Amino acid sequence: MGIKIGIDIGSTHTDAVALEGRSLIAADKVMTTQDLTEGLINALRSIISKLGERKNEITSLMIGTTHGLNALHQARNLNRVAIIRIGLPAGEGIPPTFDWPEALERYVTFKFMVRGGHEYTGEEITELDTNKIREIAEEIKDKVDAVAIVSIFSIVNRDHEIRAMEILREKGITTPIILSHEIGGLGLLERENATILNALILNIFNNLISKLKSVLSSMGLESVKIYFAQNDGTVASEDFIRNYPIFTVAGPVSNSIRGAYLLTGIKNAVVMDVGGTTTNVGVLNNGYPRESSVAVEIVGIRTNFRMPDIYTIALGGGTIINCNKIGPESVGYALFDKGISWGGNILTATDVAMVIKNFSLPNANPKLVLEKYSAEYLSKVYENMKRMWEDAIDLMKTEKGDVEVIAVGGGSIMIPEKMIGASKIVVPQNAQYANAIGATLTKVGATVERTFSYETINREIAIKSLIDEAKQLAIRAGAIENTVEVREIEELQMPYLPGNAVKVKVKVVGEFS
Amino acid sequence: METYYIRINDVDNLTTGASFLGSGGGGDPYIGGLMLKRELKSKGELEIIRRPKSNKAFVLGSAMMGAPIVMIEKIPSSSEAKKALEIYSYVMNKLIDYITPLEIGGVNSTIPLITSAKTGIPIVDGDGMGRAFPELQMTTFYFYGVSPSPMVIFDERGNTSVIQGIDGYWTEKIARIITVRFGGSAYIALYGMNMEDYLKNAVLDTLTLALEIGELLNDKKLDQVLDKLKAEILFKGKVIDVYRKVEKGFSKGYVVIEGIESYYNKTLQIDFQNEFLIARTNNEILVTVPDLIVVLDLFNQKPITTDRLKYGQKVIVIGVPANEKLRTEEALKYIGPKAFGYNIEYIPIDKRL
Repeated sequence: MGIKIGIDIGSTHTDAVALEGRSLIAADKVMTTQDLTEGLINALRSIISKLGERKNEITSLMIGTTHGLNALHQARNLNRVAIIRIGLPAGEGIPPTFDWPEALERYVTFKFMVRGGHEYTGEEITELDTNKIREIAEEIKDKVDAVAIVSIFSIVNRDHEIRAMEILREKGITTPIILSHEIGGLGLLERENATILNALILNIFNNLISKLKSVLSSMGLESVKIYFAQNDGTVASEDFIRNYPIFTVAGPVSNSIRGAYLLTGIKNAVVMDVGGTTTNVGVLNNGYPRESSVAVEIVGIRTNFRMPDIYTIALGGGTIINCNKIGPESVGYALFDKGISWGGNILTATDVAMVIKNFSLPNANPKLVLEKYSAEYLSKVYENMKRMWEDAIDLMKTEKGDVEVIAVGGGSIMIPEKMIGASKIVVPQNAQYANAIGATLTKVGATVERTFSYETINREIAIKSLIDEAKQLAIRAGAIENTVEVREIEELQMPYLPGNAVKVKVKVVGEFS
Repeated sequence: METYYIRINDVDNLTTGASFLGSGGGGDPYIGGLMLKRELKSKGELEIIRRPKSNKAFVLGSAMMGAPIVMIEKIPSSSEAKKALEIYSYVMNKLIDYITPLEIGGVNSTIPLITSAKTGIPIVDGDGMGRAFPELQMTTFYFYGVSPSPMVIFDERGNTSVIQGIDGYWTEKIARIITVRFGGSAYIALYGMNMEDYLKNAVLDTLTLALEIGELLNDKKLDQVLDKLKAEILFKGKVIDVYRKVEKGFSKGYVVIEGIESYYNKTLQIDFQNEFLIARTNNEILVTVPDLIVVLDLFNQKPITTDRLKYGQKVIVIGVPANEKLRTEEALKYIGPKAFGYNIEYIPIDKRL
């Protein structure tokens, strides 16, 4: 059967688990380090050493990480990128990276706009200016680390993006070339931004993967396959993520939602991941995180790729309670020094919950809390905490009536047994490792979004072509061919447009080897 | 002649105010706002003329037409609307003295300013709707006798057509078909008139109004917005149902809001067709078109467009009296509840509440 290792990098802790089939055979927590990689490797070494002789049974390693996001935040060690936007005479009104923060914008060293692109019907706006692409190849040769190409309505017709890439290759450009139709959906600026962000962090992931491989090989584990958690709650192979690292930025958040499903078997629910400083509230939709329908900003840049719909409230285990005011400050991982139950002098959400829910944690003495605060005061605070969680549930559910709620994460023990809006509250066993388990047990996935005019293409043929495309992508991401199946087809009418214009999204998942 | 200037830092206020006046429709002015910022980055400032004196001066409307969803993908070159204007001038052998917006709600609050920046032709502070409406003939210019034709329609490639419709409806119908053929978005120059007619027919000072509303909202000073517009809070609550369908190219539907605070135990339904049209409780109509119904996020007080409504949003609903020029018998024929298929009499919000 083999053993799978899952590692999830959180803001304070890096969690690692080892699973055989679906049973947890080892688990570990280490502190997250500033550069993330060090903590990740500590966690990896530690969990492998816990396995002892059985380490040779490890078949795969799944990682949920915010490496990409961190690198963009710090704006360090990024690639030099050329962006080619195809669409002139349209598109000139807002040049690429127009509203970017300067620290990131300076890495985009070449910006070109070229004639070409398509209409929403798939017809050409104008012919692609192939001569200009050849000139660009001469100009950027040996001067950039990656190239991003975006063409207007490439989600309807990707010909110009592909043709431009071919020309660059013919002219000897050997760096990675990223095409926007493989990154995001409708919305030129948002898709272009996501494509450039992806190009900026390619090397970060190349380095990370090399480092992981050398650690594994130093332990005699050359054949272990590496996968990364993606934003949509699936995983993809290292080879795929080398080209599409931007798909991992929300991996850790999605993992906890996926983990909630895998630990409970409940396919549709509101998931509350209670950490040290915040509660992330998401929604399980058929076993996967529900995706956000609006533009998501990453480091101040608008993008539109698939991200989980998450609502975050500043209430976690370490949240500081001060004169009826709950948070937003938190003691974070210092809880076990500073919380009153541990002999400290700061009242935290965990202190309050231990008294009201009548539980205790290692080395804690909740009686210390009652020496300082009245039971009446504490229950009033807890009522207010409960109301914050209830409001979040209410905001995230999409229809009237009560929903099932799954609580996971280190702070899930604080969640009340009953809440308004919740038909049932489930805190599964191993809830504190939900994110790492989520990464380990999930499937390989791929999503493709295109728009069609059903007057120019038959609906069945359109959807079939999209499914084929998504399947190919899933196989590239590491799925075993005959296990890939369609998980979701979503059709959305586009208002104001005739010709029966629709946006279609297909998502497929499959097993990995 | 009273004038003032718009600078790059004013653009976010303008787009917020334009979203408010869009009454749920008009398209997201995000793209238009960025294009305008780009113009102002190089130009510094743009002059807005509040009260031109010359009665004989020639005014022309400038706008984008089509699907905002196309515009977020096929971003304009930003010269299209300028070209449409130049072709109008050439074909009609007219010098254009001033540019006017046709609507102040949504993306079309920004396009004429970009045209003004590109051509150097000053822009007048007014428009033909005082809000947003979906069709070309739904302007005060048309209600009071100015024809949209001749109209120039232009695409980014340079394709041009001049439309001479027999009335506003035909002009709209023909232009709509051409827009689709141009790829779903086009740029137009229309409603040529002299300044005397403009000052008589336009809803005046609406650029200033959008800027002021936007500034107040961005500072979270909703009370002052209400005072300024003589507007009323209709309802506070949570969205519990959103129904949508696409019909004849329009996004139609309704939203149901469950009351909180002093509205507890009540529900409000708002019907929309691109814009919000009718707001009612179980047994009472509160506001109808052309008065404005505006839905704001309860927490950040930003306007929510009809396509962004979703379950769980906490909102505050506001009713705003429309400009008097939208409330006359002539105007109501085109933009009253009956024009949108409702068998409801228009009673001004100030008389209903």
